Amino acid sequence: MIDNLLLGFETALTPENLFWCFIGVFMGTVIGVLPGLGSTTGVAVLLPLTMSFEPVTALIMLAGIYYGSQYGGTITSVLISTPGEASSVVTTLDGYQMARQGRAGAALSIAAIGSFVAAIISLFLLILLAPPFAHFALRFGPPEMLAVMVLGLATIISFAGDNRVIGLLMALVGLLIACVGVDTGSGTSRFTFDSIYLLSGIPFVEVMIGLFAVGEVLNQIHIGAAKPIKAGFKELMITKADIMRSRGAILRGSFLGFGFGVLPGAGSTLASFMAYGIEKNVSKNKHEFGKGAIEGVAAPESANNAAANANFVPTLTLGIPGGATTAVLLGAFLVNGIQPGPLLFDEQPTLVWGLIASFFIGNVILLALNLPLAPVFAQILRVPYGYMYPLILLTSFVGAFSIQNNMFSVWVVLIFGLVGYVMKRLDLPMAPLVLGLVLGPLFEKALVQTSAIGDGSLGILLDRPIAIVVLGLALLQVAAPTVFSRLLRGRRAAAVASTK
Amino acid sequence: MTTQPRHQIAVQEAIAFGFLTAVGGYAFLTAWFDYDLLNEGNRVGPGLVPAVVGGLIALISGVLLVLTVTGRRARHDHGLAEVAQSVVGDQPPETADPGADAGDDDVDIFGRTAAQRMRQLQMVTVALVAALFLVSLVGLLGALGLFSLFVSVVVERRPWLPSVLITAASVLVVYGVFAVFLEVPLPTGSLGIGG
Repeated sequence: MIDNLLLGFETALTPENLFWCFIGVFMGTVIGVLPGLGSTTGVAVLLPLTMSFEPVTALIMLAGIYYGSQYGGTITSVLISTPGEASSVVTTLDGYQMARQGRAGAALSIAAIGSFVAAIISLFLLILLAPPFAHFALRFGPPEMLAVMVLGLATIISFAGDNRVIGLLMALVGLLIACVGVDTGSGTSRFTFDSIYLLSGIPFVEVMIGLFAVGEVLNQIHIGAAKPIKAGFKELMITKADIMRSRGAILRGSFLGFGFGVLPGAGSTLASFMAYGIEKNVSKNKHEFGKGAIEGVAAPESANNAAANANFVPTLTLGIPGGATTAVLLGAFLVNGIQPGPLLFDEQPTLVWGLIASFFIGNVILLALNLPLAPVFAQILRVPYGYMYPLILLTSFVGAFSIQNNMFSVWVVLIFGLVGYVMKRLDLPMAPLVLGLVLGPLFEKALVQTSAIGDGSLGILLDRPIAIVVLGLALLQVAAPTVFSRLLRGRRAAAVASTK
Repeated sequence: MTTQPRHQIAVQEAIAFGFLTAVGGYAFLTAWFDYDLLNEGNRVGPGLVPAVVGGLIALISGVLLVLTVTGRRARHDHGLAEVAQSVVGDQPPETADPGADAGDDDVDIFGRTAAQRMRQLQMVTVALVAALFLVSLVGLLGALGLFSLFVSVVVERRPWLPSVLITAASVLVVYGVFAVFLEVPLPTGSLGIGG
């Protein structure tokens, strides 16, 4: 393992990779600071820039964008109470209150420190767990992979926010979009309407740029601009007492975040909510929660960063993304001709370990960049959005064109931008759609192979112990919320009755 | 912030669910009649997944459509996130969430009402479509540059000089990155702009 890690650092520390890692972190932070835009948008919009790079360089830069835009999203959560993504929503609770009390800098600093500590802890866990997990996953055949994908879809539907039925519907829409194009098994053209562009399917990256970048910009125009709170350099001084208060929250958030992040299809959002809730219960300062408690920023920020790293466990070892951003990163792997999965660690050691080593370097750059410069990045919020969003749209469309050098990509971005806007307005969750879209081809391939192994029957799933366990977990994921909520309701009713 | 009137949301939702019902139904029927559901030996064929997925979309959206139209749709059920939250005793935060909406009486920092912002959104969308149709004439960078300028000056009513300078600088940077650095053959249109 040490040898692998050394190989990784050797790869990641080349001047070229180091430079693009820095650019990725920097540009990611800038994108993340733009209101409402988060890491998924950052990676999707900037992915076209990496098309001409070596695969390892491209992925290192994209991972840098991932981290950078996550932290950039924290800046907007704290200063204008507008999270870049769902996992930063809970940060707004105390982060924004701290900002209103003139402690924006302390909130941003503890978020950066917490994220850094969480990243280091979770990266060590990633290094420890991913290779043996990949080794174990070598036993997975099509039936097991099919079961894991069902688990991934079940997880993301369970965590899809307010309504699981809507989550299921969106996952199905993603699967249907993935059906467009020539079926690889039979060569049948499906839903192509005689268009040559549709033969290879609806392009994934363009769909992501549309849904996340254009859709979000249109949504921001609808919402209107919020007034940013000024964060000054003087306020950045975080006190020793702040750090002492936050250290437990950071550690708890880190381990909790990692635990949730390894689940395929879920992670950061639930982890951040859980970390906040637990901190609220165990903290000595629980009365300050919601009014500007620094633990209320440290815990969710640590948790969502740890979960973001843990997301790479299923992504790298199974080829199943942990969340929306890792789904886009998975798309980047595929664009570069690399199929993540159990064999990746054996077949592409330089790439995998170079990428993992770059996570360490990226997080160091992020901390070094953001601790002193967060107020500078925050100045972006002072640029009128009326100048900013036309430029985001310009970059998005030109970037989309550059992926396949045709206007079809540009129209796909526009159409899915409008779809993304409608989804935002109607509060339809995007993550299940993205996962359905990514998993669609893999799911169908595993289904076809499983039915072939079983001579036309899927009953073979029940002959494979790993598949049975995984399918059981999937069933539990779907059933658990109903069972738990009934239990909770019963407990509350009993408590009310006993007080009377 | 105030919220969008519920009847307005219901109408929008009904349209969305109706659209999805139609799409799902179309996918189901096409897959059922045009593609093989099963191959030789009862193995999964090219039509099975789209038929099942399309059928489920039509079914779920259809039910949601009926429930929305009849006003019986429950707006909330318990997902794992909500259960976890209630276990730890946390309440959902109130934030300026991107999904949150502003009512007609709500103004942003530039003093624009929700209705004005909606008009801006419509103008931007139409301008975007127009720009993409203009690509064959003035090229991709030309069309998107004109779009940026139009949005800054006309839609956002920003001063024209900074708008021109910012647009020109942005187009130059994008040209440098994509056309020069990445050597992307950007469409130049019949006027040969931005190649």
